[in-house]
Parts: sequence; structure tokens; C-alpha cells
Amino acid sequence: MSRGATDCREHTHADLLTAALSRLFGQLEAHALADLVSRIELQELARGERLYLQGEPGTNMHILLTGRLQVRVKTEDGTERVVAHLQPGEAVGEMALLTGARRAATIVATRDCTLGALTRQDFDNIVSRHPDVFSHIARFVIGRLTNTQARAAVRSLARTIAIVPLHATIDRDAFCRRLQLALLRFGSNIRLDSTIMRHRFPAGFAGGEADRFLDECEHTHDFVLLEASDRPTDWTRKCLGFADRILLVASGTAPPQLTALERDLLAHVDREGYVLPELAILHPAGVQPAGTRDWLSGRSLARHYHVPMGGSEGFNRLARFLADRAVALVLAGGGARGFSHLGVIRALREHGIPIDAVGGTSFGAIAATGPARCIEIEHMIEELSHAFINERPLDDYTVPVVSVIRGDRLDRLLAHYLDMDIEDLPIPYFAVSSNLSANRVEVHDRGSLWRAVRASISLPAILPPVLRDGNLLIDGGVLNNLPVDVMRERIHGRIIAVDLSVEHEYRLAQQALPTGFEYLKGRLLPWKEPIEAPTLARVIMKTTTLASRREVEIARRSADLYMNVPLAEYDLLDWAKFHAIVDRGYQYACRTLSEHTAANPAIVHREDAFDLLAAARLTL
Amino acid sequence: MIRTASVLGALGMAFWYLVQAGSFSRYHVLVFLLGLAYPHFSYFLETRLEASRQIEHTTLLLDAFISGSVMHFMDFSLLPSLAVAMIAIANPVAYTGFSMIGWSVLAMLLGIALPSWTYGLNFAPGGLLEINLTAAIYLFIYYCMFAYAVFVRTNALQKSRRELHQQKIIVEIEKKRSDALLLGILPDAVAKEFESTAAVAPRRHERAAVLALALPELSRSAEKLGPAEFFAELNHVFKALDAICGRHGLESIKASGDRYRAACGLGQHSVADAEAILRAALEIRRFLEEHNAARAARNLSPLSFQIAAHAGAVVAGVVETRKFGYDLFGDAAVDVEHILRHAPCGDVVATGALCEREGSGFAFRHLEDVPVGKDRRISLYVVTPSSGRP
Repeated sequence: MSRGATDCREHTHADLLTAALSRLFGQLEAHALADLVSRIELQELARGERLYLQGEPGTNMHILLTGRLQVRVKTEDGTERVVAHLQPGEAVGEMALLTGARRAATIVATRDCTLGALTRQDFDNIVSRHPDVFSHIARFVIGRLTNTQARAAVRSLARTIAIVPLHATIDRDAFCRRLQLALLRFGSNIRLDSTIMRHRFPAGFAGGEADRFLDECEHTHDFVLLEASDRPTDWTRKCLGFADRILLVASGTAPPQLTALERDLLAHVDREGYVLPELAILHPAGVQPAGTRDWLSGRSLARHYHVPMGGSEGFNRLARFLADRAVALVLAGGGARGFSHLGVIRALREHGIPIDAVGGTSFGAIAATGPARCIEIEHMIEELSHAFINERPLDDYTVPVVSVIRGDRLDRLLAHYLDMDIEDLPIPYFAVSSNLSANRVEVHDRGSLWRAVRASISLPAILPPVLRDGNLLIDGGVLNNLPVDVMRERIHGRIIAVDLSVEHEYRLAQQALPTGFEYLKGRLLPWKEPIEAPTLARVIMKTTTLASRREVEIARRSADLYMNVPLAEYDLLDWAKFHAIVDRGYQYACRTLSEHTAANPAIVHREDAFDLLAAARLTL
Repeated sequence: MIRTASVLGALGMAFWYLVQAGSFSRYHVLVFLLGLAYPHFSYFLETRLEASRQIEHTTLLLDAFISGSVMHFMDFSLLPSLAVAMIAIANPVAYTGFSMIGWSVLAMLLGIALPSWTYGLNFAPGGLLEINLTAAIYLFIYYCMFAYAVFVRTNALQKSRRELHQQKIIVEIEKKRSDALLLGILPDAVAKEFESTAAVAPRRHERAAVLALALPELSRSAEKLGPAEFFAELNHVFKALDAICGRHGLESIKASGDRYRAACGLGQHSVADAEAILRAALEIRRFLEEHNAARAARNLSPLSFQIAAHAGAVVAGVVETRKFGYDLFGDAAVDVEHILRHAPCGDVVATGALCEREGSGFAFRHLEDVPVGKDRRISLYVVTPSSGRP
């Protein structure tokens, strides 16, 4: 490289640095800024190299100038999870300047990067000369600590997606076209394949020329689609190395074993510094996904999608996930009150709000199986009314040693309706239960659907707990009755939370509890007023949800649209009032949604449900 | 069926009694013959004439008459008589409710009176043990059958009710689907109006903005490519235009042949947004440029395109030909087509009327003044993004 070219590059880096600093820290004085820039050293990092290791002591902060960094966090159970990608202009490790705290995450370069580094010593020197710099940086750090959500939203914008077909039978062109059209609703995009790139760069894409072109595309477009081929060519490697997300596209009719390409290129995702791939399985029109378990075993994936080739909804959903604009629904538990979820789902559907992921606790987990199986909500209502009104699965009393209800009838019913694997559901689903043995929240997103639901609704003492790998699982409402946080970890997008908590306290009219005989008299003698008594079931239900009130309060604030259906006059065990409760949920949700629509007349496009939710969050 | 069985059973019981008592007369033979023949006859009538109410009532009354006679034959033996009388009353109740009880009782009394008139009345309620036992068994069988009939009926009723409910659900879903199909044709604001009033009033929008696009070499491209390939490309381009317009808040009006038209400022609340239409136009230009680059990589000639944007008054409404469509009329709508003819290929052209509304964010270069109609002239400008991201 000639001297002139190096100068030019450093010049642009200084510009980038100045722009990044003033964006991050606000308006600094000109000479303070110049001093800061002069203290920052440039540092190169090759793809796959590590910048920080979680837990090591920090001595400096970095500003990313070119390339991409991946942020990984090790969770308590030892698995590592990618939490974010950093783009040029963003800063990391700023806590080290103030406190010298240990690194909170591992950071790895997913592309060749150039960084600006500022050590703590230099920072202290600058602060001693320009004290106001300290307040600027402190403000920035505090802003970050208190507003992590906003930070995530900024980060998820520009996206480079590598599309890697696993099988030669896939019509690559048609797939990419349809995905491109679906993505156009969320932003401009450009699709680059080996033909176009070879036309543009006949000499090959090894040099910096092609990289600069790709950088340019990222700058001018919201999404860049890199269409790889099903063979390990130079272009395929380039796509994998450059992408923020890798989307493997598989044909659902092909055998699920690892393909040669995956063995060659993706076996060592970590070592190569690639991002964790996602898998889209294409299904011919009218074919239900099955045997997804085999696809997932042996692959390490960030997520998987089922994409039906018939209709456009599958592609629109995939596009929403790729654009981080998926809409998720979280349903709370609450016994018979949970029927109102069905009404809410119906209202959402009628308002054109898509549901891309669902999760729930207890009865919410049952209601969530409707959208998860993509069945018409009317059928779901019919199914549940038949199951709960005609079959009466809970009139199955036994000698109460383990529980009051034997649960056999309920098991049979659930196994009849929900006999499938969670992996095979067309849209992502999870149920939450409480692990009594390990004392933590258990999230079921794999394996048998009916067993997951059964664990989630096992009200302590009423229904027998579920045993799994020696762990006792009971109702999820005990630890987390509205699992918005679980959903937040899984999807980037908008979350609608439907709660069923009744605000007022549970009070009884009389001064002392009635004796058993008094209660019986009130029930049996027609001329006596029936005495309201805190029955066993009612006390247990109330206790179950009482413990997770604090979690619910947090969930309520982190949801984009929080709905609490007013159901004070319905009891947790009013199974017979099915239709009235469903209708209440429907009316309430319709009212809430049209209030938000009326408050935001700019949203005229029914497809733009996402914007409606954004507006709802603002008005909350 | 159950009625026939009950009549035959009663006759059998009476026969058994008469043989035991040893008193058999010509009248008895007549009634027995009638009783044996009549159920078959009534059954035949019912199946052939689809059970008219009159026949049903007549046979019910005949049942009661025969029951009366049977009571008389058995000299009013207590248990058999009671059983026969109960059944004679229960059958009409089961079939017609309480309205026929009076007539049935009358028919039964007639059945007693007629033989009493000729043979006199022999009242001996004590009866024989065997005959009482037979009567009890007869009653038991009758009620079992009766209960079974009720069960079958209720089941059938429930089933049909369930089927009806399912049908209703299917109809609802189908209706929703067809609604969605119709509403897909209309812009959203118009669709809402159509939903509530089942009609759309044509409206004049003073401050609308219109975007027009032409792909003049499309037909030549159609000759080169196969029909399937050509339509795949056409669909891709027009769908992409729809998506881009949708994101910028424009309403796609129609795509016909090599023309495409979109507008904004047509809703009741929305105001024509010159910036949105220029942004959309520039994005469409970029999309088509990239599309052409992809074509070039595959050795296809580029599609030339012309884009024009204009602002002014339009009239919008639904044209109800056999193929229902929403369209724009009026000066601005006509002018934009005219301007399109003067637009250089590959550029976005905007009129002075539009440029006046939006100054920032775009660079305008004067192109020419085009005469429209007799004495009007419209000045045209080529639009480019001024800085940063277009």
C-alpha cells in the first residue's frame, strides 16, 4: 500500500472517530475532542479474534470504526448466547474507564475490524485537563445502564443476511425473490449473487474492492441479501464471513442429515468467527411440518423457521423475523379466565395483527397452542369449548394424597388434541412451568407439546405434578405468570402481553370463616343464602399467582402492548361460563385496539400493525 | 314402530286372557283381525305419504279405541288395564304433546262402550296372577323401548345441532376470506368506508400527489423471454413497487400494461406528502437500477423506465364495471400521464407544483417547460437526493 493511501485511510478513520465520539458523548468542546482523538490508538482485529473475554478485568474502552463485533454472554447454565452485533460507530467497554469493572460479555470480531482504543490512564489524563469530558462520558454510561432496550433497538437496524441453500433442489431464485419482496415492506434491500458479483468484479472478490462495495451497499440499503450457492465456493465463504445473519434454507422433503456444505464450512462456527446460523425449512403447500427434531439434532442453530411455500404469509413472517419486526403474544395463566385469551386472539386477527411467536403460562399455554398450530381461532374456540364443557376433564376427583384431581382424563384429552412436538409447530411456541426440584423457571420449547402444556397447568395440590428427568414440574404461575422476559430473550420485535390479574383484593363479607357445616347448609338448603367460602381450589389458585406479582409488574412495563382483561366477576374456576368469558376478552381487545388506532390516525395501513404497536407503547 | 309394537302387545295380552277365561266371541275375532291388520296398514301409509299429521292423529285415536276394547275383553283386570290405558294416553303425548289427550280418552271410552253395548259389562278387576305378570313385563318392555327412542332422538338432535354450528363457523370463515379478497382491491381507507356503508362516495382531493411510472420497452422484453419467465419478472417488479409505495405511505392505484400508478393524500385524514412521494420515486429508481444490473449480469438488456411525480387535484372513486376497480381522474391524473411522455428514461421527474411543496432533502434540476392543453405550461425538474441516504 502506498504512503498516500495509508494517509487517506487514517484520515477517514479520524473522521469516523470524531463523528462517533460526538454522537456517543454529545457536544464536546473542540479542543477536548481533538485531545481525545489524539489519545485514541488504532487497533486491527482479524475475523475470529477475541477482543474481550467475559469476566477478565477491563483497562480500556473501544470504538468500532469498521467491521462487525459480536457480543456473547455466558448464562448461568453454561451456554453462550449471542446478544448483539455492534456496527461501526458504536462503543464497548466504557465501564472499564470509570470503575475498572470486569468485562460483562465476550466480544469477538465477525469481520476484519478497525477499532479505536482508549486506555484508562489516557482517559484520566484527559479528564484532569478537561473535566467536562467526564460528565459527558458519565452521562453516556448512565444512559446505557438505564436504557438497555433503546440501545438494542438502535443496533438491530442494518442487516446483512447470507442465504445459504442446503439442497440443490431448492429454487434459489424464487426463494430470494419472494423474500426480497417481503422484506421490501420493512426497508430497501439489495440482492447480490455470484453472477452479479462476478460481473462487477471479474478478477474475483478476494481484494478489498468487493468488501468496499459490500460496505457501500450496507450503507445505502436497509438489508443486503447475499445469495450463496450450495457449494463451498469463494463467494459462499465471502457471504458467510460478511453476514450478520446466516439463513440456511433447506427443503422439507429432503433428508435431514447434515449436508456436505455444512460439514465443510459450518462445523466450526466459533473458530471461523461466523455467526450462529438460522434454519428455514421450506414445506410444499398444504404439508404440515413433521420430524423437525431430526433437523435440529447435530446442528447448532440460533433459531429455526417453517416456511410454507403456498401463500405469502410464510415469507412475510420470515421477513418480519429477519427485520426484527416480529410480533409476539404472551398469555398469562388464570384458570377459566384464560378463556378470554381466545377472544383477544380473535380481535388481534380481525385487526390484521400477525402473531409470529407465542408463549404462555398455565392456561395461557393452552390458549397459545391455537395460534402456534396456525388453526383458525373459531376452530380453537370450538375445540376448547368441547373439551372443557362437554368432556369436563377436571371432574376427575381422587383420594387426595398427591392431588385432588387424578388428571388421567385431562392427560387423555391433551394427548388427543396436542399430540405433536413443539419443534414441529409452524410458529415458535413455549410454555412455562416451575421446577420444584431445581427451584427455577422451566421453559418448554422442545419435545412433546401436550406434556409441556400439562406441566404448565399443574396447579399445585389440584393436579399431580409432572416428572421430567427426575424434576418435579408444577404450574408456571408460581414463578412467572406472564413470561414477557422469556419472550424478550427469544425474539426481537414487539410483544403483546395479555394479563388476567384482578386488581382488587380478595375479600370476604363475613367476619369469621364459616365452619364446614355452615357452608354445607348454605349449599344444600334452598332457603339459605349460599355462603362464599375460600375453597381449597380458590385459595391455591390465588396463592399460585400471588408469588409472581412482582414479575408480572416488570413484565407489564416491558411489554409493548399490555392488556388486562377486566374479569373481576368471573371466578378462576368458572369453566361453564366459557362463551361469556371469550366474548369479554374479544370486546375488551377490540376496544383497546381501536382506541389506539383512533389515537394514531396516521396508521391507515392495516398491514402496519407493527406501527400500531409502536404507537401503543408510546401511549402506555 | 314402538306404537305398532305396543298395540300388538296389548292384543296378545288380551288373547292370552280370553284363552285363559275361555270366552271367545265373533266380535273378539273382528277386533283381533282389525288389530293385526291395522298397524301394517298405518305403517304403509306413513312411509308412503310421508307421515301427514292427519293420518298420525287418526291412527293414534284408533290405538286408543283398540286399547279400550282390550280393557273390556280382559274384564278390566287391574294391572293389564292400567298398563294399556297408560300407553293409550302416553303415545299421543309423546307424538303431539297434550293437545290430543281429550280425544284419546274419548276414543278409549268408545272402545269400551261399543262391546259393552252388545255384550254387556263384566267388571272383575281382580284378574289372574299370570295375566298380571304378563302385563308388568309388557309395561317394562314398552318403557325400555320408549326410553331408547327418546335417546336416539336426542342424540340425532345434538349431532345436527353440532353440525349446524360447524357449518356456521365454516360460513363465517369463508365470508371473511371473500371480504379480504374484495378489500384487497380497494385502498385501505376506501375499504373501511365500503365495510361500513357498502358503497364508496367519489371524492375530490385538492391536495393529492400522483406518481406514474412507465416501462416502455416491456413488450420487447416479453418477446424475448418465455411467457412464464416474463410474468415472473413482471410480478416481481410490480409487487416490489407495491411494497415500496406501501412503506412510504402511498396508495397503489393500478398497474395496467407497462404503466403503474400510485398516489397519496387520498385518505380522509392523510395530507399529500410531497416528501414521501419523492422518496418513493427515488427508491423505485434505485430498485429498478439494481434490477437492471442483475439483468445485465445475466446478459439481458436493461428495462428502460420513466418516472414522473405531480401534485394537484384529482377525483377518486370506484368504477363499477364487471371488474371492480378504484381509479383516479381529474387534471392532475391526466397531466401526470402527459408528463410521463416527456420524462427521460432512468430519471425521476417532478413538476413545479410538487417541488414547491418540498424543498429540503432533494436537489432539483430544471428540465423543460411542457405545454399542457391550450394555454397551460408545466415546468419539469429532474430530482436527485441532495445528500446522505436517499
